[in-house]
Amino acid sequence: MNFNGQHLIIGAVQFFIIVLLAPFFAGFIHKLKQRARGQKGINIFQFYINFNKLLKKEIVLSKDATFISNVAPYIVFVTYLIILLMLPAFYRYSLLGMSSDVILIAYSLALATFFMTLYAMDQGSAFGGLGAAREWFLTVLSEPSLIFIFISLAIYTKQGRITDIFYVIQKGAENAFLTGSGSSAVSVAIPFLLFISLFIVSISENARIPIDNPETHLELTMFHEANILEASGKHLGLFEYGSYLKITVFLTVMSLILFPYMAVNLYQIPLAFMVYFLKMIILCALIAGVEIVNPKMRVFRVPNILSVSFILSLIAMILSIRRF
Amino acid sequence: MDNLKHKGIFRYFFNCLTILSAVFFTVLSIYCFKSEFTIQSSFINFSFKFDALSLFFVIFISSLSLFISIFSIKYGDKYDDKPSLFIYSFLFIISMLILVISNDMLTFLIFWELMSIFSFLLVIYEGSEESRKAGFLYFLMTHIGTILITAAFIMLYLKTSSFSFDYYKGAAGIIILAAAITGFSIKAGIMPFHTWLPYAHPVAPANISAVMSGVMVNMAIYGILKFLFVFSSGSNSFLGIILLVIGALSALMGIMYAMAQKDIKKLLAFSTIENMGIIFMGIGVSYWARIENFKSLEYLAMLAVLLHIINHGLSKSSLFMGSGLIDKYTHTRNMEKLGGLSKKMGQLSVLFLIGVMSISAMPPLNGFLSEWYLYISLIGSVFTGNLYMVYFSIIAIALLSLAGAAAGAAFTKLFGITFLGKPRTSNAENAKKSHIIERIGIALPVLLCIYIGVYPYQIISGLNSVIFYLTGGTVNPNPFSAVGAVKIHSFSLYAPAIIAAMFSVLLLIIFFYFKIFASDKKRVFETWACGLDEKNPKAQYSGSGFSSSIMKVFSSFYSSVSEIDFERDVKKYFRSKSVYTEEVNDIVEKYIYIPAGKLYFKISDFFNRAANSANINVSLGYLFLTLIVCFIIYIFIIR
Repeated sequence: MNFNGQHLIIGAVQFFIIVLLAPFFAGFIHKLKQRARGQKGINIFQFYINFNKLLKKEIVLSKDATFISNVAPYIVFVTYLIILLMLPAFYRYSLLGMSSDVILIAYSLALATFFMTLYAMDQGSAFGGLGAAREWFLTVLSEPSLIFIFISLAIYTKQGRITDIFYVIQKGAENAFLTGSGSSAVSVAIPFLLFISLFIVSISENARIPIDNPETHLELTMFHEANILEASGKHLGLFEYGSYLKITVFLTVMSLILFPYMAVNLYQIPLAFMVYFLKMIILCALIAGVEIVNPKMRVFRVPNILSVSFILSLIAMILSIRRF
Repeated sequence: MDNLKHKGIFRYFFNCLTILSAVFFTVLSIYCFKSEFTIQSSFINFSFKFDALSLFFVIFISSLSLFISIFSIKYGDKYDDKPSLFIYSFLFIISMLILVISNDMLTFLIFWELMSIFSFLLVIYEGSEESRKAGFLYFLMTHIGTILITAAFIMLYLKTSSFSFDYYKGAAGIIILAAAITGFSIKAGIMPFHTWLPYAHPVAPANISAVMSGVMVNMAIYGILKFLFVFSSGSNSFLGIILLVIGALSALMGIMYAMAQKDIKKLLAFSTIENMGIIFMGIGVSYWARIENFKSLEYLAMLAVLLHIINHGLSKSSLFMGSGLIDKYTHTRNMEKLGGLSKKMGQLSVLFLIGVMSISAMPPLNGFLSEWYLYISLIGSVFTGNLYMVYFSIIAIALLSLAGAAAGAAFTKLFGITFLGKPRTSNAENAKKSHIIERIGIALPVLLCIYIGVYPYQIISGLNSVIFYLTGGTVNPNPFSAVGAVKIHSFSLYAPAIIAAMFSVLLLIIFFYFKIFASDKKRVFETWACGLDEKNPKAQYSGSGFSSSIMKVFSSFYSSVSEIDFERDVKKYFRSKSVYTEEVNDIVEKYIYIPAGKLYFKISDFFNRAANSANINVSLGYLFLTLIVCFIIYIFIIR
């Protein structure tokens, strides 16, 4: 892969579009949930309005806050931006595609968690410490399956960069569809298993209902919210936007595993974008559906479901080794 | 010593001497590179050789001891009453420097032993009951290690009938390697032999802990590299797999125990076990690939090993120095008594944060880099298709990823509980600011951490000569080319630089966006506590609370005892006092070492009773029996 101006520019445009769409996806999930519960529901674009409003508000800093409180929101937000810069969504290349290593992505997610939990502990509030402890509890359990998912993808496609990984999957799918060759039970099973596994991980990482409820401020239900309880003003805005970006990252990866279709040239972009958008809407509906039908889970039940995800990704990895 | 006028003269003198000798050895080893010389004395010849591996270790030791000496110029002032510390630490560092350039087994063993003895003297330096206990354990374990290493060398001598390392190339068979690796792993604190490390490293003064954890454990790695990659006869690839598995287990267990600790230095000591495990994993992969002839995999894993030695040394020594400052200015190492230090020690907290990020492998810092290369080599070894290696490298990936996440949790706990929040006791509240020289000593390795993390290409091209010496190949250090392990394409080496650059660009963009569009108003107010008027700073989340949920899930790794003690008769919700105690015991110690110690006492008690029966006839009988046994040995075995 060489440096090509067109790829970089389209990659950058793709990045801006996804960043701008992220609050929409989050809002869409929220809206769906509310409608399913029989509520009238928020405006789909409410999260844009919220973000804008939060920027205009003043910051209330704790007396005990240190430099971490001023730095962490930015670092968390920028880390998610960096991950989005690496991901392809509807175009085969991304701006940081050359350095989009899968392990780097997994560890960048840990970096964001690291700073968010430090922020939580910065104000000396018991809620913050509780949230930080629970967040790491989830991360310790879900990080291995996340890394396993990424590494099985890398082994399955024999590629290291995430842009190349999905391109290879796409090529394979095209070949199988057009010529009927190259498809087997295994090559269908691996993405399927990885999809389920990643779905579980993304529900836990994104603070969704069976594991966490992002809408409450009750201490018994809080994971993510407890971390950012003290945030206000633009700091809160950054954290909130960061969480939209995070779910967009996970949904995008899932959408690419589910149905890899990325444009390889300029003319395919409109169609690829439509397909991407459609996939994201479907996945949002899936997340919302899971959130509606499930009650919240006890904290010490969470390891069970996450170990299911780990086992599934392990099976996928073993299958992808069998493939060559 | 009583003369107050000359107080500190030892400190200045010996720290400057250490710095000078560090510089001297670096210059000497660069100047004499690829040459050798011998110092002859009446009964023993000391021979030295400067090869690429020695040069690497000399530069590593001398730069770290340079930083630590700068740090202890000021830090050491609390030890002025007992200046033996500075003499011992000088000799300790010198013996390590000579150890890595020695070229025959006697020199090696002598300086290995000197290193062990001086570090033992430093462990028992403070003279408390705890340090004497730790010192004894350390002395015992390290000498079991030395016995095994000596045995390995004697076997090598019997095989080649030479003392010089030059004749040992390709001479070590499996038994020799096993003995040597076991001996060296005791020094490195690898899992079944690690028990001494979390006792011995924390009790020494902080600058010595920094040397021991950052530098001394790597001498064991030096020995293992020498044995496996220079002396090995090379027909035993399963040794690599064993190293990989043991390394992975000790990485996971080390960090799991680190998470349970309250003592800052003990946490760091357990984290040393984790990092030694990671280094062992790299050595295992590299050695296995060497025997099975997967060249690029071998080079890459070796790069991961060497980089991790540097990264761990830099971040661990800076963290130990930081913990020394915390200890010095707050008089406690218990993180449950600290908190809010970030306000009192602002600059130290930034340095400590970077060290913590580096050691818990956060991109784009250096700790991530070596762990990343290790992941790439593990994925590469999956691609080799060797049944055993595929199996064990998948296990290793699982354990490593779990350890990586757990390291994040452990070090979030360390930094968050110690530096953030409100001060929990008056110790933390009355913390004083540290001296500038102390902070400079910490800042230098931290800056190197950032440099290696963001721009590793210079270091990698420097390491290539070491990799070439050990394996006969090199890794391409060109930032704009991809690293290829077996079969897998396009793991990009230049990611860290681009990520770091992009990070700062995006931060700038957001900063200016906010300058224009966001409000700048700021108000400082109390932390929200449900509207309650809670003034007790101990109501914050505690360190043991932080790790308890993770420990509960992985409870099979620990043998912890916890109990809540309160007055029974008082009403349930209005207890005046309740005490919670928790004790986390090491399962290896509990199920192997303590029973072994008891067995030893039993056996020696039995012999004691049998031998000292105070009856002259029985004693004479023993004498006769011994004579007969000696005869039998002579006749049937020696002849």
